[in-house]
Amino acid sequence: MPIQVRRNRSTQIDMQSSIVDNMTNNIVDEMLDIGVGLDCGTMNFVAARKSGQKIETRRIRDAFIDLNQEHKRMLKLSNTSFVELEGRLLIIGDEALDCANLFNREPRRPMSGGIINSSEIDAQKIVSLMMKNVLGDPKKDNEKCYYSVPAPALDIIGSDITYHQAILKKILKELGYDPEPTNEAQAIIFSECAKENFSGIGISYGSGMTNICLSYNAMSALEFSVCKGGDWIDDGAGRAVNVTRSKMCTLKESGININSPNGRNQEALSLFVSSLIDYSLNGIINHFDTVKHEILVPKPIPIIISGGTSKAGGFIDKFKERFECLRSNFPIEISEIRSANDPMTSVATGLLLLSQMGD
Amino acid sequence: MSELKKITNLIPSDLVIEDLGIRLRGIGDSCIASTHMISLSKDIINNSKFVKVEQFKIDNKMPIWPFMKESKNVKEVPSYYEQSDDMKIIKKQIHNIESGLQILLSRSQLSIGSVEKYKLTHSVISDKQEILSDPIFIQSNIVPRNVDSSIKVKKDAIKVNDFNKNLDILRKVRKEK
Repeated sequence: MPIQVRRNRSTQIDMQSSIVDNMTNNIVDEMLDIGVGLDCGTMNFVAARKSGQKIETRRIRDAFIDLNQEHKRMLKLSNTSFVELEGRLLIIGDEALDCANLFNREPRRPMSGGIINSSEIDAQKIVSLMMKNVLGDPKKDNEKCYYSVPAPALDIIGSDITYHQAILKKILKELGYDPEPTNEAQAIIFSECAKENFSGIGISYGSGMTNICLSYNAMSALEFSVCKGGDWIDDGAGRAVNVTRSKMCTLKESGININSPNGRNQEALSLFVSSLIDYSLNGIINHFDTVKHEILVPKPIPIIISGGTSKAGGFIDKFKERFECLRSNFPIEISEIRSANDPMTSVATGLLLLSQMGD
Repeated sequence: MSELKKITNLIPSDLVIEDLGIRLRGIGDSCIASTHMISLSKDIINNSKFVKVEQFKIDNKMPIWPFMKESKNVKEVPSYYEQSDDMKIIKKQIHNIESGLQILLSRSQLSIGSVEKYKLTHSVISDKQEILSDPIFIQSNIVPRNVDSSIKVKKDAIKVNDFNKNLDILRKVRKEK
């Protein structure tokens, strides 16, 4: 006769209640994690989501290349992901850059100078596909999504971001999110300056432009940008030594040190990086000078350097060196200059923090 | 019955709002749409830099088609170039040069070819906003439908160290304001 083991009633109730507790905790955790940050950069789209005790980031390169249908077999064999849109094959993301280097072509760019590329006919569709892939489906209807926007550029007459902001908002709505725009340089302050009560100067050395924000106690006091960034470096250095822009970009991201360049190409890159730092610092000094009577910062604040272009080896040292030369002209007292923890995800993480604030 | 609103273009170039099926020609052009239709394109309509939306009152009870154009709505683009002081000075100088040339020609009785008159137009260099010939086009469905778009993305995960602490600080700072 088989032995029958029966749990007593109190053990059953205990087990059931622990299962319910676990389920409730999971639901509460998920509810707390609702909200997403999206960095809409000229070179990368980066989404950040909180998942339990981790922040998950998803990044896609802001580039694409179109091929004819005859290349479909080759793409399948090489396991390259592609999208079929209106009879064309589109390779989107990092693989587009690899493909462009392979065919010695320049990749097409849906974003240019920090905003949606007005001269690229497919720009809005490509941007929407990239956003769809980095964000995934919303966790609930109208999930909050804070997305980054640049500030108008000082050195472009009539620079305006209204249309860019409206189009991104429309795409996010179509994807089922509740979108909220935030300046990308201020997002860096939210990500990196909690110990200073979210006060500091955030500088985002992006691909299309350089964004600057002066934030005090989590309030933006001044936002502006200059229209030079990583693309300007790649373009200028590439033309100087007769190399394509995308090859220069690959070289720049391969980990060179701008303070000890090796060879002609690296020397050209190093020179243009230094020139960008000088240009942006002079832009900051000149603009701060025009508004210095309107801004009162009672105590020294830090400068936070972020953005993909600042990842070049020796960038922060070069910045500090150039800043010291110009410190006497700087209208605000600076406590320290430091890099963001991760220059590639800093903006998205700052936006994620805002999305978790609730209404 | 749905309320009616008047939408006025605030930008110098044409504006096409595909959701509403309208094209507003230049600054000041307007049309009338129902509140229900406007709600379909709320994002763009609410963007006050593009358009102005105001209540439209009907005095008589004539039926109005939701997209009907107002009869006397299109304003001319302000003629900045015609009225500026610079333009007056340039016109005066041109007049002086032309008169001088006429005097010289009449004295010498020589033909040096025809002197053509050019009317100065918008080619004068100015930092004023350029008026675009193409309209700003806001399409209705941007995200392509029925497209299999499994694009490779780079995933990464970082441990949350001070995230919750930072969130508390931000809440506190915002509350203090």
